Amino acid sequence: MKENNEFKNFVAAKARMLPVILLLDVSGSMSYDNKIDELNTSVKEMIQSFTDEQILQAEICVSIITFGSDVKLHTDLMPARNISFADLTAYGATCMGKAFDLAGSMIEDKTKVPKNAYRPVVVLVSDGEPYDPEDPNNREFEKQLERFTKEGRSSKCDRWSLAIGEDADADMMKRFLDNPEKSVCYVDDTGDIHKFFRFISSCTIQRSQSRNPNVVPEDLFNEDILNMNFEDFG
Amino acid sequence: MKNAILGYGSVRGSSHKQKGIKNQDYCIVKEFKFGTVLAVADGHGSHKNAHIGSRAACRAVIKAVKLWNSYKEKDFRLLIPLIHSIWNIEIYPFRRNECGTTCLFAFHSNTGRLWAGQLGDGNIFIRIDDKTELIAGKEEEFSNITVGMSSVSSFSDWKLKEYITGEKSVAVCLMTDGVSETLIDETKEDFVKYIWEELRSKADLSETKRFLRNILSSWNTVNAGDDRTLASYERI
Repeated sequence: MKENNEFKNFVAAKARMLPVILLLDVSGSMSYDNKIDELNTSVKEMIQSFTDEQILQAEICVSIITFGSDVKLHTDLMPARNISFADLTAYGATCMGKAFDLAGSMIEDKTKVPKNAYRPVVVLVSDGEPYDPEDPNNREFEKQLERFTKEGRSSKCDRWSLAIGEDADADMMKRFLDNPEKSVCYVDDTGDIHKFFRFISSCTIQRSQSRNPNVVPEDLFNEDILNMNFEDFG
Repeated sequence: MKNAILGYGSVRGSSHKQKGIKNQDYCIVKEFKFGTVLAVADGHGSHKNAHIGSRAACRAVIKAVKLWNSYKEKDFRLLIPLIHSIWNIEIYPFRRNECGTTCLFAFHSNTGRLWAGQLGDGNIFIRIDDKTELIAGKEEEFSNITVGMSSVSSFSDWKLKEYITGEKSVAVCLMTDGVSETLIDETKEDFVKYIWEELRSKADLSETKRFLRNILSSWNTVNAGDDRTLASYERI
């Protein structure tokens, strides 16, 4: 029909974006106990799971931001199927606040995360406390955390956090979640890192296939399913 | 006043078809002696009786406008609590938190006034003479977890606009987010102008409805998951 052909010029050709932004600690301590290796494997598996799933309604796009001595955009936001993941290496301090700023800028940028994108998933993974030599008292860090969790589009994201080991700042990670109904996920055994990422993958894939991808399926948030340790540090 | 060109259509999204879920959108277009009322609503996907909520919202708008219009002195804001009250009655005995829905409406009276209101996502386009405007664009949020009839917390959750149209040409297009969020953003206004132009060439309501149904059913597969609803009105 003539009218159908003309009409198709108005409809978006691509599915709406479902952004997944990983904020990953690559500080020096992550080089111990196979943490960085487990993290690399887990992220690769996650990206592969997004690629393998046949998802019509949403396009899962992933970005990876690492923070160590400095913050780095390891992988710019792009469809998971287009990502060629380069292994992370661990070194230096823990400039987490700068990662919040970088992620926040990305989310605010409507050329990267368009207006009609689904609510982004933001995942914070860390094994320690934030430390930036340029901000030794964390005064700037507190502002960066506050900005990310309370202001603009980033405040509306679906946030998750994984604390690795007993040195992780779980209290800060709880504040990052800024949601009384959510808990920080805690792993003591680095071998369990992949379970957390599988949970995030399942959650994201289920959202992308649901009738309302902006709703986070609460029934997935069940530690019995994955036998993980969700601690309420609140 | 001259005759109006009306058209409306609603199709179930592919993800709902796959899961055997009813269309959670609803729309009503009603011509009264005193004017024309259009209403569309999109039930919240996470609510198990969303289809009941959206139907109730549209019915509530029609009944509320009819009652509200019967009063000579009318404050537009007083229409809103009326819509909510009637909605509560319409969904009974179901619970509000199982029937959440958006609500978009427009009422063009024969006295040359136009009122439009929106709660939640979706789009309302209004054209008066040759000036077209979008009533409530989402500038800040990407989230569709929008406020709705069951979750409204403040009067300011509603976006309300009022126009004096007199004898000017008027057109209205309401659409749920299954349409508005899957259009190329820069072409939305062109899309509604295309719809208005195409509907003018149709002989009657059955043709306009058929046209819109074909359009909505022909949506790009990757963006056809959600229910899609559109209602259009034009008086030249």
